This record gives sequence, C-alpha cells and structure tokens, in this order.
Amino acid sequence: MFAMIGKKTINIARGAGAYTLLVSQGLAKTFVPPFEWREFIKQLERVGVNSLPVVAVTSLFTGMVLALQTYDGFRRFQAEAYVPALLGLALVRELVPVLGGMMVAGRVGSAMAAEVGTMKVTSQIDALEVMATNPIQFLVVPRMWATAIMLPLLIAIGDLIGIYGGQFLITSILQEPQTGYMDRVFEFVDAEDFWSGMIKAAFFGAIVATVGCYQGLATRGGAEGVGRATTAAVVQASLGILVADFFLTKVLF
Amino acid sequence: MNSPLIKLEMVKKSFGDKAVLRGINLDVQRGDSMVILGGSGAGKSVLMRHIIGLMRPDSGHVFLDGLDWWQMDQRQLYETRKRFGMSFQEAALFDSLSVFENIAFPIKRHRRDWTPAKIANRVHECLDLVGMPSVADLMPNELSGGMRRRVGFARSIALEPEILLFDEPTTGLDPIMTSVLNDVIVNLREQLKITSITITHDMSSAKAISTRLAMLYKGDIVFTAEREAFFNADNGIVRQFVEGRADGPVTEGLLS
Repeated sequence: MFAMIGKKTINIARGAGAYTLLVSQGLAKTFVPPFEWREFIKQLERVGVNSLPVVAVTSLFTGMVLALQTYDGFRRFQAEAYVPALLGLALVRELVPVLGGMMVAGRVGSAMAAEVGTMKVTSQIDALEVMATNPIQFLVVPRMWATAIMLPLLIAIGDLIGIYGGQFLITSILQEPQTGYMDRVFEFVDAEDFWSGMIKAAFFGAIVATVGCYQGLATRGGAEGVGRATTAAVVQASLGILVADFFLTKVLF
Repeated sequence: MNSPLIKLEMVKKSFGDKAVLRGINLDVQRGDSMVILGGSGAGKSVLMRHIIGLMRPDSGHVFLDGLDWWQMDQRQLYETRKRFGMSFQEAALFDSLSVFENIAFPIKRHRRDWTPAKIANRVHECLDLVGMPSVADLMPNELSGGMRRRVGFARSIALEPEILLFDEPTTGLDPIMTSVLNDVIVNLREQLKITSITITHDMSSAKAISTRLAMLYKGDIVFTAEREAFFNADNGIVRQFVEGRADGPVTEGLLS
C-alpha cells in the first residue's frame, strides 16, 4: 500500500518534471531557427478556423442560459436592468475563456495527443530525429504558439456571441426587450475585463497544446496507448485550465 | 586495418530489471555491409537505436569516426545524424504527407538553398533508385507494405548519406518482395558506395546483402565474421540460426 502510494507520487513528480522540461524546451526552441512557418500556419487554421463553430455554439448557449437564470432571479427584486452588466462581466472574464478553453481542449488537445501519439508509436518521431529534426521544435513549438494565439481570438468572438445570445434570449424568447442592452453591457465591462479574459485564453491555449503534445510524446504501447494519451490529454488540460484560471484570476485582479 | 567508422564499446542497456544489451563490442569498417542477425527479442532494434544515437547506453560508448554520440552538443549531434539514413521496420512515413513530400522532407530541411526543381529532381532520382518511379503523388496509406518500405528507403537516401541503417527491411513480406528489396539494398550499396548496417532474422536477405555478419544472442554479440566464414562457422548458435533448426543451443537457452 505504501509502496503503491510512493510509486504514484514518484510518477506524478516525474510527469510534472518531464512536462516542465517540455514547456521550457518549447519556449527555448522558439527562438532557435528555423521556425516552422508552414506547420505553424497549418495549425493556426486547424486550431482557429476549425474550432470556431464549437466555441460559437458553446458561447451562444452559455450566454442564453445565464440570461435565463439571472433574468428570472433579478426580476424578483426588480433588478432586470443589471442583467446585461452581469452577463457581460461573467462571460468576458470567466465563462467564455474557461468553457471555450475546455471545449478546445476536447477538440484540439485530444487531436494533438492522438496525432503525436500515433507518430510516436509508428516511429515517425524517431524518423524525425534521424532526419536531424528536433521533434519539439518541429511539432511542439508551432502547436503551442498557434493555440496560444488562436484561442484568445476565438474567445473574443465567443464573448460577443455570448453577449448577443443573452440579448436574443431576453428580447425574443422572454419577450421583454430592454432598451440599450449593449450600452448597459459596456457601461460595466471595462477594457481590463476583456484583456484579462484574453490573457487567460492565451495561457489556456498554451496549456491545451503543450499537454496534448506532452501526452502524445509520452505515448507507449500501440493503439491502446494512443487512446490513453488522448483521454489523459483532455482530462489534464481541462484540470489545468481550471487550476490555472484560479491562479491567473488571483494575479490579474 | 583502418580505424573503424562505427565502433561500439561495452554498450550496456537495461529497461527496468531486464538487461537488453549486455556489453556489446562491434566494429563496422567503411564500405562494409554489416548484417546483424538475431532472434526475436535479442535486442536488435535497441542496438540499432544506440548506433544512431536515439538511445543512450547505460554504460559504454558508441563512436562514430572516434566521436562519442553522447559527448556531442545538440548541433554536432544533428550534423552527425545527417551522415546517416535510416529506414524503419514499418517505414515510419509521415501519414500527412504524400510520397513526394516525404522524400522531399529531409532535403527541404537540410538543403535550404536548393530550388524546387532541384528538389523534385532528387526525389524522382531516389524513387527511381528503389524502382518506384510513378508513386510520387500517392499518400502513404495508399501503398502496400513493401512499397512503403521502398519509399522509406528512398527517403533515407535523399540526403546522400554515408551510412545506411535498415531495421528488418524484409520482415513480413512475401519471398518475391523480399528479393526485390534485397536487390534494392545491394544496388544502393553498389551505386552509392555506402556503408550499411542491417538487422534482420531473415537468412535469405542476410545472404544476399552481407559482406560481414554478427550474431546477436541474448544481448551479446557472440560471433562476428566475414560472410564466407560466418556461414561455415561451427559456432553452435550461428549454426542453429543459419540452418533454422528447432533443436540446438538457442532453444536450450530458451527452455533453461
């Protein structure tokens, strides 16, 4: 029993160390030429353009359900006018970055783990090494930066969609149109709120990509191993986002 | 005798409690076609990974022209890797790239001054050398096992390496494809004048391509000799392996 706990602890510590090493190597290798522009642009498209529908739907429904929940509650003490402010702040600062980040972890992080993991178990990573190509430089660096850049852009679009989703629900579904909904949102949401969400999203993006690549590169044992790596990538990236969210919020405010 | 191109000195490697290489000594001379024979699980692939510096030995050294892989910094290590071409057991082609792009991959990375036309020329030259002139536009998953390996060969020679490593080039292929691949390897050696190291357990392939052979058994090189001497050796392990008999020291070793 103690042996088991000890073994688990060692494994966790070893994993954390290996992950930290991967991230620091990824950062260091960013500035070592050549930069993989082609791979980078391919990833920008995959992460950014292709994730837009998922993030859009997530934001839309988050905005609507939040409006639904709060509008009813606020009406009880005639504070409906504050619903836009609450929606704006909650969506921009917290909900869209975190939920959008987790959706992207499910979509992109898992795909990265599966792709890199398959490359690992079919010796393609070794083949890269043999062809004098550093796998971290070739695979991890472009994915890390592409996700760290694209996730904030996705979240920015998601913010707007979520806020409009709230307005749509209140005006069209609850049939209680509020004049100046958008003005009320902007009255309370400052640029800082928006930027804090963007900074969070950049970190979340980096977490999603590095965890995905880390799990991929650590894959062992054929198809089953790839499956395990994919699951682990999504779970760990999602947990990482939630934990990082707390610390980032603490630092940013 | 000249100093060897590749020299392994007391290379040991274990995974957990399992000793896979137990102190390997091996010299490969320039121009040799070395074939390393060994049964399943003898440590052949692990040995190959040490030769090209993908795995670090627990103790011992792998020298290339007198330079130890693990004394080099990363730039030197990658510079040295460029002198090698390696073809993997399952070809290890990049699935997301076409055959053309797979072969062009090392060229684009390491010959940055080449024009696209020159790259295309070289790719087609490599495909011709392995006897597959018309597959450049296909994707790896559209090829059969034997074709994939040949494309893997083509990729490994794209940078005109001095040393070629073949990891079980013919395993799992039919006899005809096996001899086609043997011919390809012999042709590559004769046309490009390169040193090659092949690991295999396929005797027909070993006979066809070797100039020297080494017998790997339970993580040790138990016998090394020139081609003729090797096939006539009276070493028990070699004899059993060459003749493919079920009874002999190898089987006894397995049972004991």
